[in-house]
Amino acid sequence: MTEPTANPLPGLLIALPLAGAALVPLLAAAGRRLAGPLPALLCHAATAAVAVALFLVVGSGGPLRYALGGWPGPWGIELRLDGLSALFAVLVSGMGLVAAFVRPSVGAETAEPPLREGLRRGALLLLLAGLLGMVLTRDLFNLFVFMEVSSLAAGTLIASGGGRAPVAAFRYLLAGTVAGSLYLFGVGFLYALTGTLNLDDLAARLPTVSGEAALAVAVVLIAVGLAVKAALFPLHGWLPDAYVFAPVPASGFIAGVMAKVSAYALLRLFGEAFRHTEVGAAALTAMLWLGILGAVGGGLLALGQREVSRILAWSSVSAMGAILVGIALGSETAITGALFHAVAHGLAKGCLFLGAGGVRASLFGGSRPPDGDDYRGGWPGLGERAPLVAAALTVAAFSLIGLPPTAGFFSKYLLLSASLQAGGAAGTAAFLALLISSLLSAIYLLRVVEAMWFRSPARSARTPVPAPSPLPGARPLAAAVLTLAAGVLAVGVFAGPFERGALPTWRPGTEPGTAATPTTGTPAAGTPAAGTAPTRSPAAEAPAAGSSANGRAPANAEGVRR
Amino acid sequence: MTTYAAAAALFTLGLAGVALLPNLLRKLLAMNVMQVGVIVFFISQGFKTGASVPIVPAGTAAEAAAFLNPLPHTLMLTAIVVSVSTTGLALALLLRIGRSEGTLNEARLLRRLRRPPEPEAPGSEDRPAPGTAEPR
Repeated sequence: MTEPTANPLPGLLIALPLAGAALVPLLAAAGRRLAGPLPALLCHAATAAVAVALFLVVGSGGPLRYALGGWPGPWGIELRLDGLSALFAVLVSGMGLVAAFVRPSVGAETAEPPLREGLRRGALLLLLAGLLGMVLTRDLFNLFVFMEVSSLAAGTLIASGGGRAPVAAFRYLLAGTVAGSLYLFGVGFLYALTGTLNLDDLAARLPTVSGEAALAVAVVLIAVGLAVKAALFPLHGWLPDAYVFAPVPASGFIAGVMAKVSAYALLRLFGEAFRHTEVGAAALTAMLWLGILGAVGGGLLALGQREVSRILAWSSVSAMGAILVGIALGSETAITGALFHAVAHGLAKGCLFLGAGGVRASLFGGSRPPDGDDYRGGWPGLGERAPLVAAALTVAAFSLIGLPPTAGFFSKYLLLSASLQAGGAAGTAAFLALLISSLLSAIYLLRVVEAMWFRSPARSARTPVPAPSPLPGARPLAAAVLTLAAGVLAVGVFAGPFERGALPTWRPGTEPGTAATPTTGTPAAGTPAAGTAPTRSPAAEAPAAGSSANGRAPANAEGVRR
Repeated sequence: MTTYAAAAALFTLGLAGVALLPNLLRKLLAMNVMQVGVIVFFISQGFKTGASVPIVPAGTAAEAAAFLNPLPHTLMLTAIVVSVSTTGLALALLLRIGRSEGTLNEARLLRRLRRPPEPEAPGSEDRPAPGTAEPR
C-alpha cells in the first residue's frame, strides 16, 4: 500500500472553519457592512473547495498526512486524509456550504441583530471545524477534543432554535458529554495498556494485549460512547428533539451529517484496530443486532408521528441503524453500502429538513396554519404553490424510501446484498430489517408526498392565519433544497462511477493501518467477499506490525504500565 | 490501586446520577462528577511514587523509570478545559430553561417539549419570560 505523503494542506480543512468561527462574529460586531452572510459564505466555500481539491489529489496520488506542529506520530497528532476521510470531508463541508446559504433566522418575522446572526453563523463554522477534525485526526485524544468541540457548537446551534429549544439542546449536550466521558475513559484504558494514542501505533500494538480484561473494558466504553453520538438504537434519546428544535439551516446540516461522523469514527476505530481483537468482534456483533433493532424500531416510531420534522428525525434513527448494520457486517460490500448510505441519506435528509423548516414557516407561500409542521397542516397544496420545491422534496423522500433512480436505491441495494452474502441468522435478520424499514419509510413518507401533491389545503388547515408578508430568505432556502435534491439524483444516476471513483474500497482483514486507501480499479480479488459477520482471523493481525512499526520506539509504555 | 478504585467509583456514581436524577441541574453536577472520575483515572496513570518531574539536565543519561509520565497530566489539562466549557454552556442553558419554564424537572419539561405544537412563531425566543419562578 502507498505510504501517505506529507502535505500540510489537510490542516486547512480545520484551520479555515475554525478561523472563520472566530472572525465571523467579530466582523459582524465590527460594522454593518461586514455583517451579513458574505464572510461566512466565503469561509464555507473555501473549506469546501479545499476538500474537493484534496479529494481529487488523494484519488490520484494516494493518502496525505500532516504532523501537527512538526511532531510526527505516534508522539504528535497526525492528520490523515485518505479515500475515506476525503469522502467525508467533501460531504461535511459541502453540506455546510449549502446550509450556509440559508439565513440562520429564516422563517422569523423580524430580522435579527447582526451580531446574533454572526454568532449563529460562527457556531455553524465551529461545528464544521469540529466534525472535520473528527474526520481527519489519527489521535484518539484529539478525536475526543474535536468531538466535544462539535458537541458544544451543535448545542449552541440547537439552543438558538427558539421556543423550547434550550431543553432539547441541554439534553443533547448532556448526552454528548456523557458519551465523550465514556469514550475518554476507554481511551484511558487503552493508553494504560499500550502506551499510545496514535491509531496506527495502536493497531500494531493491540495483538500483544489482546487477552487482557482491560482491553474489553476499553473497547466496550469506546463503543458505547461513540454509539451514543451515532444515535445507535437504545442510545438515540437525544436525536429526535435535537433535530426537531434546531433552527432551519442548522437542522439541515445537523440531521445531514452530524451523527454520521460519529459512525465514521466507529468505522475507523473498529475497522482499523478493534476488529482484529476478540472483544472488538463481539462488540461489532452486538452493534449489528442493535442496528437491526434500530432500523426497524426507528421506522415504527416514525410511523406514529404526525409532524413532518419528527417523522424525519425518527427516520434518521432508522437510517443510522442501517448504516451501523453495514459497518458491523464489515464485508467490502457492506462497508461500501454503509458509506453510500451515509452520503445518500445525508443529502436527502438535509434536503427534507431544510424543506420542512421552510414549510413550517410557510416560506413557500400559503397561509400559516397553527400546525404547519403536521403533514396535514402546512404540507397540503405545496405541489401547487411551489412545484419545484415539492418536486425536490419528493425526490429526497423517494431516496429515503429507496426508489430508483435515486441514490437511496443503490445504497439500500448494496446493504441488502451484503447482508445476503453474510448469511446466517444475523445476515438474514439484517436483510429482513432493511426490507421492513424501507417498507415502513414508504408508508410514512408517501403520506407526506401525497399531502404535498394531492391534498387541498382548504380542507385540512384549521383556522389558517394569513402569512405576514413575503418572508425574507425563502429563495436561498429553495435553492438549497433544490441543490441537495439534485445531488441525490446525480449520485443515483451516476451510481456506478460514484461507487467506483468516490467510495474507498475497504478490505476487511488486510493491513489495518492502510485498509482505507482508495483504489482506482482493482477491487481485492483475493479477499473473501463476505465471511460470517465480523471476521476474527488471527492472520489479519500479522501484517499490522509491518505497516506501522518501523522506526518507532516503544514510547513510554515502560513508565505507564505499573 | 486505590486511585483506580476511586476513579471507577466516581465515574459510576456520576453515570448513575446522570441517568437517574430527575432534576437537570443535578444531572449536570453528576456529569461533572463523572468527568472528575476520568481525570483521576488519567492522573493516577501518570503518577509513580519516588519519581520526579520529567526534566532531564542536558548531557545526563536519563532513566525512564525515574520520571513521571507527563502526558496523561497534560491531556487532563485539555480535558478540564473541555469540561469547563461544557459546564458553562450547560449552565447558561439551564438558566434560560429555568427562567422561561419555571422548572428544571426533566419529566415535566419533556412532557411540554413533546406536546403537540402550539401556535408559536419561530424566532420568538426573545420575548419576555412568562413565569419568573425560581428554578428549583
